[in-house]
Amino acid sequence: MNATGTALIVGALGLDQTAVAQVLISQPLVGGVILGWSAGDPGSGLLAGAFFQFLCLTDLPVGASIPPDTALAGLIGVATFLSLGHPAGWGDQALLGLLAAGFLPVAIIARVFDVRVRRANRIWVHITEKLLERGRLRLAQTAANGGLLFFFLRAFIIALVVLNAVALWDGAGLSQAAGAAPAFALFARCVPLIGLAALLSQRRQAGWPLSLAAGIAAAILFSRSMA
Amino acid sequence: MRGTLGLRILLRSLLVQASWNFEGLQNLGFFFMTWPALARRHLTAPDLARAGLRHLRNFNTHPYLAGLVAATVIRSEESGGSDEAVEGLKRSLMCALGAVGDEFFWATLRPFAAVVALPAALAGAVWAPLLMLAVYNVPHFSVRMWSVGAGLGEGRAIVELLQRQPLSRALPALGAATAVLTGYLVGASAFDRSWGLLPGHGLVSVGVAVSVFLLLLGVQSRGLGQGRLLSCLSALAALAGVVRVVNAP
Repeated sequence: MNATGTALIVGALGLDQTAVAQVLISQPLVGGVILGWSAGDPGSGLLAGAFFQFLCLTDLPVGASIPPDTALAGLIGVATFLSLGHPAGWGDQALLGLLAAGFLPVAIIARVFDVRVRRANRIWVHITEKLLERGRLRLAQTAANGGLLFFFLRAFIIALVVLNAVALWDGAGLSQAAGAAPAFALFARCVPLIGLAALLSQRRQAGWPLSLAAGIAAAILFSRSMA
Repeated sequence: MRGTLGLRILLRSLLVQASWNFEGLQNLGFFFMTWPALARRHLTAPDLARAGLRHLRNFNTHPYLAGLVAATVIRSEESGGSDEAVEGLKRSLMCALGAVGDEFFWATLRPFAAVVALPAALAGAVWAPLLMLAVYNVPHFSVRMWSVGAGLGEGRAIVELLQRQPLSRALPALGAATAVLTGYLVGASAFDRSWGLLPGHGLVSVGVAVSVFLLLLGVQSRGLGQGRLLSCLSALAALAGVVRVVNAP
């Protein structure tokens, strides 16, 4: 699938983040598999989606606060991973580590655009008010949902710019820089632990060391039983 | 739920944040949710427009519980409550429900659903996302459906119902389960050939993973958040990568 097609899917999935239903299809684990399927490689979508999901365990839209949009950054990370394929000398982990380095800037840019969209959405308040005053009741209901267009365009445009930049770059230089791959692979192996530590540091409650130890013991017992 | 009206409020509540804006927050969504109830009151067009404008006042709550506020407001209006009383009820409900929903859904259930599905995802199970969706959305839609029905049925009595804090009771159990699954993921990643820091060394692998995890936990608990930690480590990886490329024969 080309960059525009993928960006359209990211735009549609991005609506779930704020504007529609919020059933979690915008989370990288779910959206990653959808993107993987559309690219004909659900396994890679799952791998990249799970990887970026570790970085989306915390940032929470509490009240009217707007955190960095880690979910959209994760979806764009998965789409970029799928579009880069398998450059020579770069394993999956190394490539994901490289993309994780660009994750935060994309999340922050997405947040900036999110704030702008929410500012721009006030135009729909004025349009709806005017339509109600003029007695155009049915049209007023349509205008009340006009923000869907802005929220869609936000995710679509960010994804389109990133994916076109990646398509233009075409991974040139990655094979020459293959020597850097082990460093990024090691970084990638730390990413799940970073995400899990962030989750526990935010959600610590009484007795957490015991719960944590129980989970680790369960993992050891499970791996022994599988062996 | 009161038949089609409840269903329409429920479906429209899915779009409560479609035009979230800094001026009125979820006000357009609230107007959209309550419109079917206003439309069936057989008001004259100017009165209907005035009622619509009244429902365009500021509104913000947790999106999953917005249907509850809308349904309660509709029920109170139909029971003959004054504008001021209904507005007061709306404001008190939206503030209380906002905090309850954020705590239960965003801060607790969403991470829980993710850590339930992640072990299966790391094992390569393509159905892992379905597990995440199911764990999250069964309670999510149950609460949405119950809340619209309760709002239409109970009206003001919903306040007493909510004082029993039905959602908050599940928080300790979900928090403990999340911590157990976090531990499981730390342990399981140690054995994983793709994700382990030192895989293939049995308990030594687990020791390394747990030590690194506790170090990261300590660093983050002292105020260096996930974003900064990620930036520092990715800069280190880039630096190490550049050094390796430059020094390559």
